[in-house]
This record gives sequence, structure tokens and C-alpha cells, in this order.
Amino acid sequence: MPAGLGGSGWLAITLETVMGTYLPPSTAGTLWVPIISESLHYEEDRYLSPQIRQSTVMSDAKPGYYHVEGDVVLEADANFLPYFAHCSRFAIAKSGAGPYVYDYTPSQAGSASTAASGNVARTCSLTVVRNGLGFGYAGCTMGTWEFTLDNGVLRCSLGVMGLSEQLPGALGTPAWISSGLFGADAHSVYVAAAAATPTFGAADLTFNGFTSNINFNAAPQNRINANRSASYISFGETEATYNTELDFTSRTEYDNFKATTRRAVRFESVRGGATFTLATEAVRLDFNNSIYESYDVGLGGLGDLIMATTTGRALGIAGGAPIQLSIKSAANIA
Amino acid sequence: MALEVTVTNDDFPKGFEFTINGLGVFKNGETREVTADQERAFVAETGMGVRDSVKASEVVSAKGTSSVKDSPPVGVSDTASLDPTVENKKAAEKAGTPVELISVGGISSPPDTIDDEVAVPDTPVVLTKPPGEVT
Repeated sequence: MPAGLGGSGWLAITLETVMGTYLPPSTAGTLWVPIISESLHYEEDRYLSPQIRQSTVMSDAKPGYYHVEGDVVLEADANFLPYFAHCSRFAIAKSGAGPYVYDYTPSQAGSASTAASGNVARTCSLTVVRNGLGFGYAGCTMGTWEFTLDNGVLRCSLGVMGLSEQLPGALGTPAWISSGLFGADAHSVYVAAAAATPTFGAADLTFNGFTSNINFNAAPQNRINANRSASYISFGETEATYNTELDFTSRTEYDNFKATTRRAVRFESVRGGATFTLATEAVRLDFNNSIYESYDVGLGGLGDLIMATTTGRALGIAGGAPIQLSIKSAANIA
Repeated sequence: MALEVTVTNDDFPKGFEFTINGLGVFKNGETREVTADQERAFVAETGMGVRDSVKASEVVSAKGTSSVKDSPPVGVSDTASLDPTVENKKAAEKAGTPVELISVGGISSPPDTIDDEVAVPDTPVVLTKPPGEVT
């Protein structure tokens, strides 16, 4: 087989009905996802035997416990994001009659799980074809999320962790949905007082870039069960942070940083309408209660704009969720 | 009946558009006839015929008669190899294109497995120096 290019490959996602039972892309409901890159791989703790046999070299190797992990990077698209968000540590609320609104808030789940159907936390099977050869990854969950702007386009990087690698049988026939990118005209940033349901006013027009990170501290758990693959993926502390840069025109937020004043921050991207309510596709990430962890302002140089570089962290809030990821999509996940 | 293809994904509304490389755009839940040119483009893209590609899929289905002979999967040939090895000799004889094991000069190794049905060549193998070799 001659060498192949990445562009000839593809990735497909299939929601699992039983955690860790791989579903090939020929399964009903499979979605082919246009990605920028992926690095899913088999990760093993191989045992090397240090037997003393008149030699200073390890004498034997034994297959050890393994799991699968890696990153999937894609341009954020409301058609596909709900599938990945369903396979993460979120509580899910669905509303609407098409397009649908999915509200994801961090849950307290200690490990990934799935169900036969429904808007509950799920796991997924990911199938990747590289140079015509299929790789199946079962029991996958999204342990980390990053949203950022790349040349004005919203990108999402997912940290995937899964139970096992499988050999796909049938690869199916890829059927692609047209791209629905959130471009430079789609984004807005809002800042307000922290609340369980903050009241955001007009968009703040001073922000230059926005990167947000959600980390569920996922870890593979292998157990003694005559099987080398992971038994489940556990979760730890939920950490939600953002970092951004904005024109320094007022010391209000700087003073809020020093006073550890709670602030709400919203990053929103919409298509097909000027607001989230009117849009046909949208992604919104709300930090309902957050503090600034750093707020740096300096005189960079004679001709440099005076910018503030800031990082923030979400905190819990009574009667509400520390963060909420809302996705408006045509996808009707049942 | 000409070849017809259907894309079905119950998570998306009826009429939502999906694209299959080579075959074009399909509306969710609707069946569309594909042309011979589209089939050929699909085979060129994937190395497989449409029916072979979709036969196990619950997302894409096909019915009817292809107007293009389905190409075999990449790497597999309908024709038995003419390489003069034992296994290919059996396959070639089955296909009606017998292959003789011949000596082409140089060293010829016996087959890895001894098979009573394999005819041992009458011509003895002779070691010869390649032309131009200096001793």
C-alpha cells in the first residue's frame, strides 16, 4: 500500500448503548465528523522483566494494562458538538422542537457511563480510518474541552479517553454534513455580576481573543478481571478556566481582580441569527461565577497598545451551575 | 431498476442534506438514483463499488442494478497471479490459466511445503554466474 495523506482519512462517532461495547460506523446514527486532526492512540503500561540472568538488559516483556487516549481537534460546529458533549461529565437538559437547545452543566459523576438511549451521559465509539485502515476506539469520553479562536473561527479541542481499541469490521460509507463554521462575525463576549442566572447587558467590545478550558481530570481505571483494557474512566475535580486579552480602558475589572469580586463571563458564537434566541446554530459558554486569577497590564513598548492579559476560574454557586455550555443544533439526539 | 441510494439518520430532520463523495448530495430519508458517472466517481474515490461499500451499513443503503461493474476491493485481483510459486500454480490451474514452475537461472528454492500434487520440474536447476560478473 502506498503512503497516504491525512486528508484521505476520516473520523466517525457512534453513541454506545453499552459502555465499552464497540459499535462500528455501519451502525444506525453514526455521524462522520470533519476534523482538523486527531491523535487517538493505544496507551499501555508494558511490563519489562528485570530478571537477573547474567545480563544487565531487561530479559522479557509482558503486555500490560492499557487504555486509549488522544486529542481530537475540530472547527466547532453545532451539528457535531452535542454528540461529544453527551459523552462527557455533563448533566444534560434538552429543549426546543428544532433547532434544539442542549444545556450542559458539570455533573458530580465519579465515572463515565452510558445508557441505551436518552439525553443522559453517554460514551461513544470513535472510528478513525488512516490510509484506508480502520481503528476503533470503544468506551470513549471527553475528559477535557478547549474552545478558542483561530483566525476568527471557533475551534474545539477535545481530550478523549477510552477503554479499548477494537478492529472495525464494516467501515460503512461516509455521509458528510456541510460545514457550519462560526466565523469572525459570529462571536461576542459579555461580562456581568456573578449570579446563578446572570443578567448580561451589551457585548463588551474590547476583547481580543478568548480561550476557555474545562478539565474533568479523567483517568483510566484498570481492574483485575482477566482483561487488559480499562474497566472505566473516572473523573476528579472539575476545573473551568479561561484566558483572554482585552484593551485596557478602565480599571474597573482590574479592581475586581484585586478584590476577588465574583464576575460572570459569557462567550457566545451564533449563526443564522443575531442572537442566541434567533440563531439556528449557536454555541455559548457561560462562567456564571468566576474570579480573575491574574490581571496583567503593562507598557509593552512605545508603539504597543496597552492590553490587559487576564485569566479566570469558575467557582461553584448556590442554586446554579458554575459553568454552562449551551449548544443550539438541528441534531435531535434521543 | 437503476441503482438508488438512500441516506438515513434519524437524529436529523427529513430532507437534511448529506454528501457522499463521488455520489453527490442526498436528502435525509429520501432515495435518489445515481448516475453511471457518479458511480464511477465513487469507485475511483473509494476503490469499491457502491453496493459493496454500503452492504453492511445502516446509514447508507442501495438497491437496484449498478450500471458500472463493481470494482474489487483494493489489493485483491479477480485474476490468479502468474508468479511461479506453488500456491499460485494451484490457483492458476483452477482458473484455467496453468503456470509452469520453471528455472530462470540462479538459485531456485524448493517450495516451503511438500505437496504430492505439485509437479517437480524435470529440468534440473543449474547455478549460473550472472553475465558480467568478475571472478
